[in-house]
Amino acid sequence: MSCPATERLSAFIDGDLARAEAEATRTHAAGCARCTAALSDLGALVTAARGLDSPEPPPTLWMSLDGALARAERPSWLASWSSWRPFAAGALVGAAALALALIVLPGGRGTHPLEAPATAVAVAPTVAPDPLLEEAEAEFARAGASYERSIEKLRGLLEREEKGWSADERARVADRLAGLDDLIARSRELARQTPGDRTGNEQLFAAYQQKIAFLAAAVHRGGVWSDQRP
Amino acid sequence: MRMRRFSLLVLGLAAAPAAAWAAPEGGDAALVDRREIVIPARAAELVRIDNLLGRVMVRGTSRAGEIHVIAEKHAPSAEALGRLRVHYTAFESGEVAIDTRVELGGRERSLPLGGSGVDLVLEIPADVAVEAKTFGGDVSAQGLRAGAKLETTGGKIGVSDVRGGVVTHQLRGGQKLAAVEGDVDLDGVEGDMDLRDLGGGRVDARVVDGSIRAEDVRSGFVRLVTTTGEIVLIGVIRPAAHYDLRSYAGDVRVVPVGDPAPFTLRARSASPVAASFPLRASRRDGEWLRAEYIGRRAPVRARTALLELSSTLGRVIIQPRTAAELR
Repeated sequence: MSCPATERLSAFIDGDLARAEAEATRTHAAGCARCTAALSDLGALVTAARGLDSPEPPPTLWMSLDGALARAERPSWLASWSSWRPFAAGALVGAAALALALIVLPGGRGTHPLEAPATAVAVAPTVAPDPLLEEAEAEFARAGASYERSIEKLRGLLEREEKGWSADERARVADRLAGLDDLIARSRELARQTPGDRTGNEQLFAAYQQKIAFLAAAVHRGGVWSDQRP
Repeated sequence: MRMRRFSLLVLGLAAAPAAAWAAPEGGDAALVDRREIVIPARAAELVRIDNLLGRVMVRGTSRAGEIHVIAEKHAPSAEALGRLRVHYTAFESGEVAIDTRVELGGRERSLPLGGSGVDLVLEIPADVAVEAKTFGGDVSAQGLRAGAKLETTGGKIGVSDVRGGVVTHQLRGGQKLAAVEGDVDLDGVEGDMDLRDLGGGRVDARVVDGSIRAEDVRSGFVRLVTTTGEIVLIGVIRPAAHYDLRSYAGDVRVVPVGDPAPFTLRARSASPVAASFPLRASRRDGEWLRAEYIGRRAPVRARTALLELSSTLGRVIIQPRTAAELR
């Protein structure tokens, strides 16, 4: 699989890809530093967006959107309202989100900063952490610790094996492990930035699995590039 | 893609009276809500189950055209119970997706939880393929006729009476397979594997920290690999079959049943190979021993099996069961 386009990676982070494509993207990204970095950046963007204040829309916003839609002439190609209702609802939500974004994002195109958000920021209540979210993060952390333990165990075995290797072999293995460590660090950062999202953690686990597979193969071969099996 | 989306078992606080207090396996009392539903699935070819919130048990049935789901939610409070959801989506492509979610921050998310969860028991038409994923919960498949792909982070994996390929991925928990007619590909990091009565063309099992015991494997290619555990293969050595058994730290033991087919042995171990069969033409090739077993009553032109046995730190043993073991 070649590197997915940025919008596909973005859809992956949002959980909008079909299962097969998401799986393929996850597998690809686990072995691609470029895509892992892109995912990390996108994850940071999502986190930053979540960090924006989300003031309640003015009570009149929904009514005005609803009224505007009601006044609009129904297009001739819209054969059945009922069959399009879900999309219309989505459009309404999208429009509301857009309106909110225009209100919230400073310097939004065609808009002027409003005075109200400053007040809203000042009085925005602190949201208490959700205990269920903490439970979920704890579960992911436990699994991560299990992977780390297995890696430590394999590291110990590898150190024993490495004693009989050439300096060149040791350097090549160390180099590969450094790359995998980098992948894990990036994936961990992505997971940290997106709490409550399984995608980041699955990316991290895929990176752990890659390292475990490499370590196990290196230990078994007793020298990665010198398998003497007849 | 057109699809029909249904939401089932959306349990809110209003449904709490239907729930009951019970003590789950963990010991602590929990509020439990159990629902059953029948999903029409006349054209179903694949059922995907994604349940990070608990266990999944799938049973194949002869009842065609419907999927019977029992969902049992448990949580320490009605508020938490009301945030657990089970959904299914039937695609026109023939795929039925069933997943569980928890409501967090106004969104439904697929996440594992420690104190709350959803266990699923599904009865599906036997000729439908199954893919199931859990996080901490056990996952099992039984009586299927189109194979299964099972994945879990911390649950046990169990497969029995299945035709078709079986693929597993697991972090820890252990795996048991019995009576499988199809290719088998097993992957685990921590936990033992117990394999019995496998009849597909290929068995490939890998685990880092655990032992593998395989009995009555009739496949033409058998590869069993562990890093820290031991490997035991018990059964008939079949003509022309290829057995590749490797452990880094544990023993590798083959226990032939009956008179084995003639085989070529390639073996590597920390100590001399222990074999109770007359091996001929033994020679060393680097750290590998190469030898032949021609069989006691080998028919003329019998096809030779290949046994590749390797234990870096342990022993390689080829011998029948002892009398004590037989008893």
